Amino acid sequence: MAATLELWQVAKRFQGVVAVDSVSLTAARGRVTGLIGPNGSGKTTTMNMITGLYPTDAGHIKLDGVDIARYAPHRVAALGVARTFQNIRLLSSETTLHNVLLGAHRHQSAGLIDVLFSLPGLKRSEQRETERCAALIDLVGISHLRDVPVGGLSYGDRRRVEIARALATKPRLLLLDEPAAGMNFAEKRALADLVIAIRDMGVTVLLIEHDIEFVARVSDHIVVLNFGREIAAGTPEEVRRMPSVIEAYLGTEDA
Amino acid sequence: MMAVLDNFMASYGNLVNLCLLNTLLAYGVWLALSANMFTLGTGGFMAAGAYCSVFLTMQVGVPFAFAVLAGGVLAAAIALVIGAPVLKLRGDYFMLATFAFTEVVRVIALNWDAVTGGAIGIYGIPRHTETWQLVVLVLIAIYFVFALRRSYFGRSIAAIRQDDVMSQAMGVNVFAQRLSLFIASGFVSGGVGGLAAHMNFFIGPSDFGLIRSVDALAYPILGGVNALLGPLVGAIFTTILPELLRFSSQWREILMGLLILAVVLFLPGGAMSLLRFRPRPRAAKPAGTAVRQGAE
Repeated sequence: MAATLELWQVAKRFQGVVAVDSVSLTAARGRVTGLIGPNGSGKTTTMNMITGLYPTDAGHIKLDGVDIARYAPHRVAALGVARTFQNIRLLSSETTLHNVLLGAHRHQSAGLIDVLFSLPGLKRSEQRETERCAALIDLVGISHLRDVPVGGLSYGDRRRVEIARALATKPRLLLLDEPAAGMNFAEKRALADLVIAIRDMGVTVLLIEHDIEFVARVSDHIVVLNFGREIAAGTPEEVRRMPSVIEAYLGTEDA
Repeated sequence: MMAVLDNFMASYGNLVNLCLLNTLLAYGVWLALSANMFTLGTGGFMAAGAYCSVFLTMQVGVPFAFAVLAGGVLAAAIALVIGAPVLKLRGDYFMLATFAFTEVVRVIALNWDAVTGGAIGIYGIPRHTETWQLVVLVLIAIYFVFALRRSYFGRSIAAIRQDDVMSQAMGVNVFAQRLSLFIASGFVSGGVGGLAAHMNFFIGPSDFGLIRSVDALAYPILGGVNALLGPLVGAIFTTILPELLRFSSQWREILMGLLILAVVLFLPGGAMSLLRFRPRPRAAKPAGTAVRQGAE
């Protein structure tokens, strides 16, 4: 069941430097919301606050009405928020399957006693999650790379491993931090289809991306950040025509 | 056959026992090390377990097995109390805090005459610890570590070691897992303290200081943190080597120091990484990444 995410006047400073001044936005249930803005506009900081990696300095972050602004990262994850990282964070020596299985950690039903004494409960739990993860690896289209250490995979494939791992947590809200970065045209098209497929599975998606074409293709709604504030919001067509957005991306004429 | 074994044990029994005891300790420290906790609290936990169990056997008359168990439980309880605040600290401060704990325990041992015998220590401890008991305990420890490592729980510990921020975002409760491992490590160290006390006839405050903690940390690191038998190899090697270098007591310390330096510099995956015929990327970097991420 997809979740609704609402940010209300969320702020973050780092030793006096304002990273996020005041951001309010809504990622509507079962939709793809694109979060765009120039470098340093506070997109990734916002994502880190949503996932609990950074505590907020002000404002509310509500997931289906529950304020999660003060929650520890693993609690946010337990509520069904999953993410990928801008600088891909995988265990490079581990296989695709083992990386994705980490996302399933919370859904393993075997207890410590099962583990220490190798009771049947452990095997059942591992088998069930392994099958689920294998299906997700298939969904993102890299089943042929299942048992390969991820360190040797291409950039695009490693991004797919991250998405599969995030899906393994059974998210209600998926945060994608620049998923198309470094991908070629064909890879981006395939990724766009994947994002829409994930949305249609009943997952709310919040997407940070620089590639405007990509964002416009997959997003139902777009929010534009600049200098730590949202400066515009609307459908892809609306946002692309807004003067403030063009200004933020291209600069003013006399600048 | 039995006669040969008896002869061997008559000459080397103490060394064998020491090797087994240190192996057990090495697996205890490995529990902490596996999640990037470079603990110097081992000496303190051993002291708590040792004094507690000796008090119970000598002054209360509790059976040996229960006394050792109680020593472990006491050390585990202390690990819970100090672990909760200390685990929030960054890697290097964690090390300092656990070192401070070991020192505090040593000072208490020096001054609490009624229980610890003060600076003089305790003499005439009954010798209860038997070689077969140590063998059984080492086998149990190795089996548990084996079972843990190959399960999803072991995989999440390896993930914490490599990238704890990412692990949290994937729903792993990093703090709870670290705390549990620290408590388990304290339990094993405390139990080993009790076993050591009932092997040596005597214990004193200087038996469980910083040196003890550093030695215990060196066992799994020298042997290899990523190999199941790494702690065993490291502990036995480090225990036997000083005996082989007995010809010169001064050179002994120097050679030991140089050897540890050499392993850390040239074999960051520990001695067990020599045995990997198939090159595995994971074996190439564990100690290095572990230190870096612990300091982050």
